[in-house]
Amino acid sequence: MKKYGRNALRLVSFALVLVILLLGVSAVVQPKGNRAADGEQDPIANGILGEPKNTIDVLFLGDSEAYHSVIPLKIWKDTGITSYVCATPAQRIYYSLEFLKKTLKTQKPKLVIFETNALFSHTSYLDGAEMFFEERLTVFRYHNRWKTLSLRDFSFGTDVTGTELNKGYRFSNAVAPAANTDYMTKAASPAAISKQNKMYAEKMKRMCDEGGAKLVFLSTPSAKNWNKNRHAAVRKFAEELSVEYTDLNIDNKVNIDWQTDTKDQGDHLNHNGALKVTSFLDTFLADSGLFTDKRTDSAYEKWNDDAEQFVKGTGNSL
Amino acid sequence: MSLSSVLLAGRFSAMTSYFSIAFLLVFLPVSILLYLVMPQRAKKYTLLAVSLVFFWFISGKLIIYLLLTVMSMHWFGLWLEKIKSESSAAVKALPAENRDEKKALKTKYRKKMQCVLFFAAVLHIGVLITLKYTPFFVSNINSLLGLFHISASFEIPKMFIPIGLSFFSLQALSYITDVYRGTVKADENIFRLALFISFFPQIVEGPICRYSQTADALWNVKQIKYDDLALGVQRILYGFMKKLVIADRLNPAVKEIFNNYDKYSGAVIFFGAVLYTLQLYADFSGTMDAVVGIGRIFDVEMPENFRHPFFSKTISEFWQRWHITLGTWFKDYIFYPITMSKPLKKLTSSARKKLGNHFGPLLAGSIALFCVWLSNGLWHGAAWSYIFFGMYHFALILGGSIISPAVKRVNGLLHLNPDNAFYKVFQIVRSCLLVVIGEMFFRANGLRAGLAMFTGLFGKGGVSLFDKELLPALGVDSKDLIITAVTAAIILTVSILQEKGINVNERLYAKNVVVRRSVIYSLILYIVIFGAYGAGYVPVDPMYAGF
Repeated sequence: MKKYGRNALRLVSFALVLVILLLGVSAVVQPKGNRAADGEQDPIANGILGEPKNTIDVLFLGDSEAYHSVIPLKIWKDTGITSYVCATPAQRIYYSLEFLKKTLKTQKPKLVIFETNALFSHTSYLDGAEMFFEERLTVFRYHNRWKTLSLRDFSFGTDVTGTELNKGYRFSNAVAPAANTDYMTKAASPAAISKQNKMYAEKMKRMCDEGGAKLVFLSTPSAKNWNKNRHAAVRKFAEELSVEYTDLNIDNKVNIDWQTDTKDQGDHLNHNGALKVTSFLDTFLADSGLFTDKRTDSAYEKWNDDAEQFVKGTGNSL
Repeated sequence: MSLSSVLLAGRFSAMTSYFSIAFLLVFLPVSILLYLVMPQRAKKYTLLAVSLVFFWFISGKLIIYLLLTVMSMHWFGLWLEKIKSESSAAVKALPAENRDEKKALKTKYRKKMQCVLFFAAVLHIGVLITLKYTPFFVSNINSLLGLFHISASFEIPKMFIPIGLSFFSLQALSYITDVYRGTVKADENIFRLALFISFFPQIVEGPICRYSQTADALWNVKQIKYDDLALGVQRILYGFMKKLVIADRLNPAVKEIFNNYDKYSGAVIFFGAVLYTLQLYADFSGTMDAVVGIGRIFDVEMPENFRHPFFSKTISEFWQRWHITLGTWFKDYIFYPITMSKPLKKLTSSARKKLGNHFGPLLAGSIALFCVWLSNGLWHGAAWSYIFFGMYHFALILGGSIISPAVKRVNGLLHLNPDNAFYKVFQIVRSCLLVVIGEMFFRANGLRAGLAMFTGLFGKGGVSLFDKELLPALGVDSKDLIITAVTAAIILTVSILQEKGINVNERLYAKNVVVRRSVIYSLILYIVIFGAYGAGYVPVDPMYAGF
């Protein structure tokens, strides 16, 4: 028994020192800012960290469907409501949770809108566990920064002030028409939200409740990724979770023209399509009665500048 | 389907890699814990259960192949043993002076045993050939029909091949052959045989163990000792470094050069072949380090599959140091039986008279060698490039044997001492060069591409080695190459020490705790920081698991 105790002690002491070392290395490789140049992996979505404290009204979470469908600067221009799209390519729901957690540290959004495509992405408990460790021992996420380390990385100071002009929206005016425009009526393979994804979504709901934000599910138009079975599965789950749900695919609610409004044959929307989705959101947010118009508030002057710059930069309207 | 899709069958194909998080941080620790808490008499059964669960997780219902292999080999083994005991009883029953009758009786029983062995071998090799080579044969028949302008063609069937089939089939065949030869007794305990064939660290990429090497050790396992655990983990970490820092890092560059070789100059193609050879070695030998390390944790000595192959002075020596258990399998179960067969023995003695003591036996040996290398090529995969790979090494080894007397004479004339350090270095470099060219054919996308790459080695056009565009096109940067070189230098240093007979793993463990732990922590941090994983990297499937 004594021998077992001694061996257990050896193992525990080994693990303890290892964790301390990993924490130390994590402190070094952890980006000291939120820009790409700082080594941040998702600088566009992480741009929210650079937004002034408590200035974001609405937070959008999700995968590429979200960042190709929602234009925060248009919402601003039309309603004076501030929003940010914290979406990343193929975002898993546990990663959405991480963004929500990070955002709630500096912002108090009244509404969190989750794009539902991520509810059907494959996740495992192991992926979630991996993310959990990566959040705490950041060396596992940022280890590749050994290539770009500078003296600054050996200090404790951080400079999280990087912002993104488009507030998370990714502009594209490419056009590649979709063929399957009857995607919401034709037969589709069965759709089920996995237990893991449900668990993370429930956690998201709890986190929103605790942070004083209302959670809303939103399905943006996608001829490639969406179908009636997915709609039914999300509707049922939203009811169970007591979350408001809007599916823009049903009856083509925002009049998407699949000949002109998609950049890649129905997978994602282009700027035309995003304008239509955002117009719907303008009304949806304004009607919620949760927000005030800040367009004339001098503290938000930069939003006006950003909207102007967007139009100049892309040559497209908002 | 529910019950979590019938208890997660085939759901963890990622565990095919012993360096996956699912295996290393979940499956292995849980297995060790289960093993630790089980009473002594249940430990072996725990190990068997864990092995079967592992195979179930990675292969799902294809586990049926493994179970059928175990059951059939158990049955054939007992059958052989029964014939053997009947034979000795019948021979014993005869009076001592009836020698001729005894001989005839022995021959009769031997023939019976040969039939059983033949049947067992055909059954297993038949399954292997059907699953692995049918699409290859069918596509070749289609090509042949096309050549004769016959419009008919056969549909190429899609086969479901269980992971590790090529490994556990050979292991099972070695068992039944050893029973036939009397090297081992047929195992009456099907569970022991099952554990020998399915032990989870060896099932994906080998080593191809012999029954006499591991069966008893696996069955008589004891409580895990701290020393074994520590030594096992050290060995796994060393393999982890090879896999994660070198093999996975080099993948984009290797892929790019082999997929688009026509864009690059000869020097870059050669560079690609060198990188691939290094990648393959790091991947396969790294996995073998993990296998040996896991075996060590359970106090089971797994056979080594690598012995610093790049120190070989000849190609023949290279194959005694690279994938050792496959080489010895071919030697014991193909080369020797063929050379010792009556027709070849006859050929050897008549050739010896005509061609002398060197070339006489070489003639018969070359036939056996041809069979070995044809099998070796085909074992790696059903493609002409693999057959070419086998024939390439056959030609090199046979050529080496043919010219060896002439080389000796030339060395004598030039007063070259074969023990001279420079001469040894020359031999090592030459062997490495030949190996790299062989691996280039091995990795190329088909034989045609391999030949085009070989021709391309002498070309000057395309992106050159010192072109600024090269590294971005290969998906790596100079720092990737530097860290690869540093890691290769670490492996080289360890290899030199091991070549001198130093067991680096045990020597490290014998050091005081501060030194030992400092080295281990450094190794872990080295892997964590410099490993090629996470965003921007695609994990490489274990390269030998597909063979």
